[in-house]
Amino acid sequence: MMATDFVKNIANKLTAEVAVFPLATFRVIFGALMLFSTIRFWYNGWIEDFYIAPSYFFSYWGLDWIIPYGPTFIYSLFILMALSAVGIMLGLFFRASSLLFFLSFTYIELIDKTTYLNHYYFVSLMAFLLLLTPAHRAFSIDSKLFPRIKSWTVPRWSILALECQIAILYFFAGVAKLNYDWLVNAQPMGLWLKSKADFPILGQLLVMEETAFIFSWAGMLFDICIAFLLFSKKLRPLAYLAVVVFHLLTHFLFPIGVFPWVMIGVTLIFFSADWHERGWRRVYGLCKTVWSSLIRVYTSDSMGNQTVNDKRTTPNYKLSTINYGLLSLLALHFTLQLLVPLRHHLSDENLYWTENGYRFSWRVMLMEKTGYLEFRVRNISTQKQNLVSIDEYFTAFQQRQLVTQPDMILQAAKVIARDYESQGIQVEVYADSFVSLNGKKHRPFVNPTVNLASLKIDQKRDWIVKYD
Amino acid sequence: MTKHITILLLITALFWSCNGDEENPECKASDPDVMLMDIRDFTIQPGYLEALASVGALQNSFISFSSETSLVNLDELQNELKTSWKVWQTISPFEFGPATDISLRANVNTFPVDSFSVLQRIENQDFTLIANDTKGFPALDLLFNGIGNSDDATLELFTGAQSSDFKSYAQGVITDILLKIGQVNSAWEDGYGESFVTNTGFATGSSFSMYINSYIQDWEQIKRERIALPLGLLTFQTPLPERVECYYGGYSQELALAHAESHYAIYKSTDHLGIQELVEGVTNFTGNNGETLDETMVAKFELGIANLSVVPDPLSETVLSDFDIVNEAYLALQDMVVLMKTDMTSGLGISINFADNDGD
Repeated sequence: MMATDFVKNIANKLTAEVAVFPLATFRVIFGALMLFSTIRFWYNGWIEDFYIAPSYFFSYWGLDWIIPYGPTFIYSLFILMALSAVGIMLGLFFRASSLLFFLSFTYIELIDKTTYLNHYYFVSLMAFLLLLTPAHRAFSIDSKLFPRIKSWTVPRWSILALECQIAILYFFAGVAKLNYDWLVNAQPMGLWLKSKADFPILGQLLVMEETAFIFSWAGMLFDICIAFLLFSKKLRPLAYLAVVVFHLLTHFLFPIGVFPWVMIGVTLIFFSADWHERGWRRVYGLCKTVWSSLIRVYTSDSMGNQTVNDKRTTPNYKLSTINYGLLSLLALHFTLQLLVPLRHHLSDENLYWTENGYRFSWRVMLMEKTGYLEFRVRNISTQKQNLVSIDEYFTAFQQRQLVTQPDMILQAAKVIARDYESQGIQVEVYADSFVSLNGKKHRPFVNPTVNLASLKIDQKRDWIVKYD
Repeated sequence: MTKHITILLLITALFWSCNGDEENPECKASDPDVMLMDIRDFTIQPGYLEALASVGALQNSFISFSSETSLVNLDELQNELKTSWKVWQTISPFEFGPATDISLRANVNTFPVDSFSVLQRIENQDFTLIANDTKGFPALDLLFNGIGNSDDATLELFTGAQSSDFKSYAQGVITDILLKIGQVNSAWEDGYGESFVTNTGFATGSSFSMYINSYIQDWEQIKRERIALPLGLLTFQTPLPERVECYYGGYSQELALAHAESHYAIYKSTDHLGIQELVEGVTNFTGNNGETLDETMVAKFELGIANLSVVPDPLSETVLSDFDIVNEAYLALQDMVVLMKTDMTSGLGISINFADNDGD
């Protein structure tokens, strides 16, 4: 009975109603950022480059049915994604919008490992959590269309879940930096900063060896601590300032895309409900002035006369089956979130070399790898050999990712074997490859005597030359 | 909070205050700019000028040959072709910026030449040069070195009934080469040269990134197109002698060697700044015997050049008669590709980013 009470107690705490403001802010900012990100992706020509130009896609295990299915399909998917981001932002058909956004975004990210980025994974997870929440209860078009959903409160878990996901990202990113090269050699930071001599004013400072050490250690400490500091009411303003400075710095120094803006935006959710409420009142006040001076029509209920605080009391709540289901789902989700980044411990391989368990683990800006790869095929019946250049099969972007990532090399080998097979030639496929890790002298990567075509896709990576 | 924001704004202002402020010594971009200026002023632009001059000389000798179609003048013409083709090898590595805009390399040096099309066009008096494999140096190789079975036979074609068609076609090809190289040279003189030296840093799209990455790609072409392909390494060990760079003149090895040597010269850029100075700054790399990246690269350059220089011409025959000697050259060139694509790329921070990147 004790255990049940304990669970019930927690469940009650998690489902207690709190003010909607932080979640509403989050919803609007997240939707806006995703809209921006989608437009930027399109504008950069990446839909064409990444989803139409390639002849082959490096699919995830068991997900090889996730492909672009031609220009019409993929462009429609991006349009859907943009529209659903607008839906999220405005709180218009929020349930459908957030579900469609999550599905379309995740689908696109799962097409090709080449495009994997931790921050895309993060967006998928945030979208997933957001679609479970009632983030449209206020400051949304839905709440005007369907007044019965309107409320100034949301269950506590809906804010906490998003905060926890952010915390997990930072914390694991910090833990991943606790490695020898990062802390003792300040690598790859040193490599990256060395090419920044032309940076305005700070250039000469950035290329100093000391700077690489300061950045490496500061980055590690920031990542590990920042979530805890954001949870603390007292330290929050300072912590948020650190978030802004840290991410702006990464924005200026590295080609990291929208990630800095996403983090600067989403971490606002840590601020108190009062803080967000003040913000909303200011925005509303401003809008009202603008509206009323333009057209004196808009009179629907603004926050003006609502006594928000009255509604913030927790009702005598009876947990519904739906709530239990939701909480169980979240429990499962976060258990996985804590385990998945640690899965590489199951293997004795060098994580940075074989990358077994590298993805989906918040290893952000952690290593510098460059590689060279050429395949060799041997005609089984004539035993004659042939060099196969990867640029006959894969785009430049795919090649760049492929040359250092074992699972992609294996997939590429199978693509080539199949291609020869389709021409009626049975071949073995070998790889001559070399990789440089964090600027150290290149080493042989794939064992050149292993016929890659014969390996299973989930084969233990003993066909990668050991890194001692 | 307001105080924090003020500080933040100040920092941001500091970041930007230097844009365009060249007078302020604090703001002057340091070494890289100087290095880019050296690369432009001592390597790239002189290269284009020399190429224009040598193709100009080729044009003059063709004019002499046209007016007096003699064996002596044919000999002179063939020599000028060889000279200017070799000079081409020294600017072939700069396939970025203006050169990419007009696909200079493909326009000027696509091989093998489609001899059938060339002859058909001459037959039809169609002198438009559209397909890359009907023009450029390899087309001149066909016309001046190979169209007859001997120099006498070639002379006959340039004096016979169709001589004016042959001359028109050849003149068209030479003019086209001059035009294309001239276009790129003008672009460098008319502004690209200015932006080249101010586009500092090593990020994707910076001058260093474009310059060095195109240099690496061009080296790969020596290995792949010039050696591996005719040797049959890409065709299940069936040599393809007709795929050499200069099939009719029979000096493909000489061209490949000139190409490799010009890469080495560009790397060293003696008496001015160049890639070597950058590579000397790479400290992370330690070779198997403690050598630096620069020492390793110099050794590999010299090995590659040594192995290539012992391959006898005509390469089209050597690939059939002596696999090993060509393969040795191939392997040395290959080692260099690996060094360039892994250690040099990491060390200089010139990995190309095709999209956002949050680390490998």
